Amino acid sequence: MHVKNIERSVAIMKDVQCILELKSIVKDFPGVRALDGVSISIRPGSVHVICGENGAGKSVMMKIIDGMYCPDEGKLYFKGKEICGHTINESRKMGIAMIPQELNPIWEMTVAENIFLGREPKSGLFVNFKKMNADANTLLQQLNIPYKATQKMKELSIAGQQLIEIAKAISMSAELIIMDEPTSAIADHEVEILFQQIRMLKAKNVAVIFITHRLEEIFQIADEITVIRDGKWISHGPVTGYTVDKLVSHMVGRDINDHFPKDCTVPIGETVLEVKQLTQDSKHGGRFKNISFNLKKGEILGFAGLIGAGRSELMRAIFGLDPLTSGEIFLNGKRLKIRHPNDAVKEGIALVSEDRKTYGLVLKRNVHENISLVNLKKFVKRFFIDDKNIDKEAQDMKELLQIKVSDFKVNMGTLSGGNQQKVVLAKWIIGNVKIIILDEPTRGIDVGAKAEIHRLMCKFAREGMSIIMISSELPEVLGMSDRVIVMNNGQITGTLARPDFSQEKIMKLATSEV
Amino acid sequence: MRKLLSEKKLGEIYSKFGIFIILIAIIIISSFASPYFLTTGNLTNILKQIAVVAILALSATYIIILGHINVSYGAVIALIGSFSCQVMVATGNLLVSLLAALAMGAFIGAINGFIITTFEIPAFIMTLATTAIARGAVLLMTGGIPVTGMGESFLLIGQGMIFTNLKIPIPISVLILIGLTIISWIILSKTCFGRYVYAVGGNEKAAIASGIKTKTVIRKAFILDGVLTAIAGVLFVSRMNSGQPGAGVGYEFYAITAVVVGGTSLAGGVGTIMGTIVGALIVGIINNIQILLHVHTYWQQIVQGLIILFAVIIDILSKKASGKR
Ligand SMILES: Nc1ncnc2c1ncn2[C@@H]1O[C@H](COP(=O)(O)OP(=O)(O)OP(=O)(O)O)[C@@H](O)[C@H]1O
Ligand SMILES: [Mg+2]
Repeated sequence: MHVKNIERSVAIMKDVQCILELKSIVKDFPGVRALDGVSISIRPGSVHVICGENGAGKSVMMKIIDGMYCPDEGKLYFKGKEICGHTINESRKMGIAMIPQELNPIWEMTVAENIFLGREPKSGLFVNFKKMNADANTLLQQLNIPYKATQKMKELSIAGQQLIEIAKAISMSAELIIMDEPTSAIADHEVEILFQQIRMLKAKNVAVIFITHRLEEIFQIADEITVIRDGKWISHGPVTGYTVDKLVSHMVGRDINDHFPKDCTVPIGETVLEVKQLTQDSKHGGRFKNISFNLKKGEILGFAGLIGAGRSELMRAIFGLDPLTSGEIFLNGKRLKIRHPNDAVKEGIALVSEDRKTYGLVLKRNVHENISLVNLKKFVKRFFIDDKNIDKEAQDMKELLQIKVSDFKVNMGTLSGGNQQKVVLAKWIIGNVKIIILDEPTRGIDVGAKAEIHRLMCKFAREGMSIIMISSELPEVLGMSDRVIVMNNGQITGTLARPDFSQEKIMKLATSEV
Repeated sequence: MRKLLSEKKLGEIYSKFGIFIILIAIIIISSFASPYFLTTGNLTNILKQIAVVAILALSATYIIILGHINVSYGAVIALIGSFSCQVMVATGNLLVSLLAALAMGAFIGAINGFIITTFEIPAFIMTLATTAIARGAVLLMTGGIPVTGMGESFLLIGQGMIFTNLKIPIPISVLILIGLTIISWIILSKTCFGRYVYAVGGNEKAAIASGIKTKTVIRKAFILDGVLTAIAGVLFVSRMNSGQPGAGVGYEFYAITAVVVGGTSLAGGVGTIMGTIVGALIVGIINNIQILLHVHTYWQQIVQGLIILFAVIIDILSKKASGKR
């Protein structure tokens, strides 16, 4: 079974309607069975959404289709032919494209080089950069992506990287496109553009496998749904056969009724954090200017805006990760000088970055070490680290956030995307935080845990913590915030109090100039 | 695919059972190859021979886990060793000469760490410069003439024995090695500094964003590196009973080989002290058995080169194995 012989394999002409079939796939990792006899059929011209909680096995299944992992048991048929032990390169040749959940751009290369990596247009022996850049620009325009072909990849935010990855997959003219959480960091506006593209692909009879934790997206785009839970196949059917409640109960195995439960009874206290005239000049990045706002005790302050509005960069600068040119930061009336995240952490400020892979986790190290990294000093007992105590608190976090992990000694990189995100949250809230800045806190997190995180945010607010939240999900911002500050082009364009909340007002402010 | 699978297996076995299997295999093969190999005399000899390189390897483990490298060990042990000899000759006091060596080591380490972090110079380049400077400095200091006449007490460190009334007396140098191994293991696995070393080497940006002062961690690690190098340097000259300004050539290579054989990744973030010690033992035993079998020294050098090559290839394969399963 492990011997690759696509050519020699008997062409079993099964259900010709299907472009791809998975039969009873089993995949084991040390300590976990990631997939346990899952079967699905993918039809051309149809959007097949795979639903499941964090760690259900969705990404592993996609990686098996893409040729990154080999299944331990079961068979794969592509266009009726059994494929086994195929490599990622062979998938591309067969006509399979994939947007992976964990983005892996080459930072030092340009946007165009990333899009056409491995299939650069050539003239003779050399890469035809002119054509490559022109093609890339056409593609970017077609998809309404606000970047240029010659920009360096490292200048892009997570959302930007995700958009480029989408463009890349679409430009491959594949017959099957796998999209593993392509929308986790992008906002409604970009999602809509992606959906238009997907509909066009459908019209061209391309098959799409789509994964998302945002339920409303599922009902907008899906034709068929397959639900998996703990690696097991649970249900399958046309989207019309599902309701939100049914879908959620299939995914979680119980009912959940939550939709952004901001507890409005929490009293809002006096000002805790105040920033005045924060500016970053162009020498240091130039991502924002003249930013003044305050944050009160027990408040959840939302930040809304389009991609590139400068929200993340502003927060990174407040936290000491990015340079600040001028402006003042006051904590409880005391002027703070934050030059390094260490200064911020000492003052009880936390930043949960949107980019968990680069700024959140040390993927090479285990869960135990990652979860204790910020507050390591707290766990020191008589000069040495008290590992038992770390494990105890990690266990509490595991239960609180429903982190799916078999053992705290496993490498962080082996956890599913959503579970990694939960560890990032855990490593901050394990300590004593007064102000927590959450940048896309529920990025890639499943419905059940999302509700739990929202509940936690309310609990923290009630206990007197102050929260800043950036989210590309407008309903989340509107549902959770006491106030929303809208930014555009590096400047604040307006502030809305809860009674004035509406999607239209925010969208208008997000595109208006100061 | 079949070929890939066997590569995969090799990598998996290696990463699971580690180098202990290799160590045991080499011991078994060697004991068959030479009847003299397993005698206590020879085994103590091996430990005595590896002491200097193993201490350097302990030191290199921190630096390599951090994702940096130090290629100046050979020159620096010659410099610090000769310096401690001169201090010994001048003062006649063992303690003073030891402290002088440690201070010099800490100073060199501090300079390395400071320049590397402040100007963001690759450690490779910095320590390459250190090598040249140290070689020049030791020639200036000694006039190119070996330092001698340190007296009996100085020899104790490198050549002395303890528990001489027991059946198997233990060389003091081996005792020092064991002590430093335990200390290094504790520092790396049980203290905040050690955890930070892993975090900085694994993902420096995430470490900064977690509030870790990564530059301080790197500077401290280089100071520690300097101090350990100084101890190795004193052992080195004490064994030879003279401060040779031109000695120590290639020691950085042996140390780095031991670390890499021990499973520490040159990419940073991964590695253990235990692995390094086993790596140093493997390298030491291979050298020893070649000497016992009268292998020509030219060949010995070639073998040394092959070992590090082999270790790096295995490291890459085991990474591949964990990537594609
Ligand atoms: N390389 C690996 N080594 C060990 N375990 C792994 C590896 N990859 C995945 N797993 C485990 O397999 C299970 C399924 O992971 P998978 O990434 O498919 O989840 P997912 O459904 O995509 O979740 P999410 O919604 O969080 O992305 C998890 O328990 C995960 O820890
Ligand atoms: Mg996933």
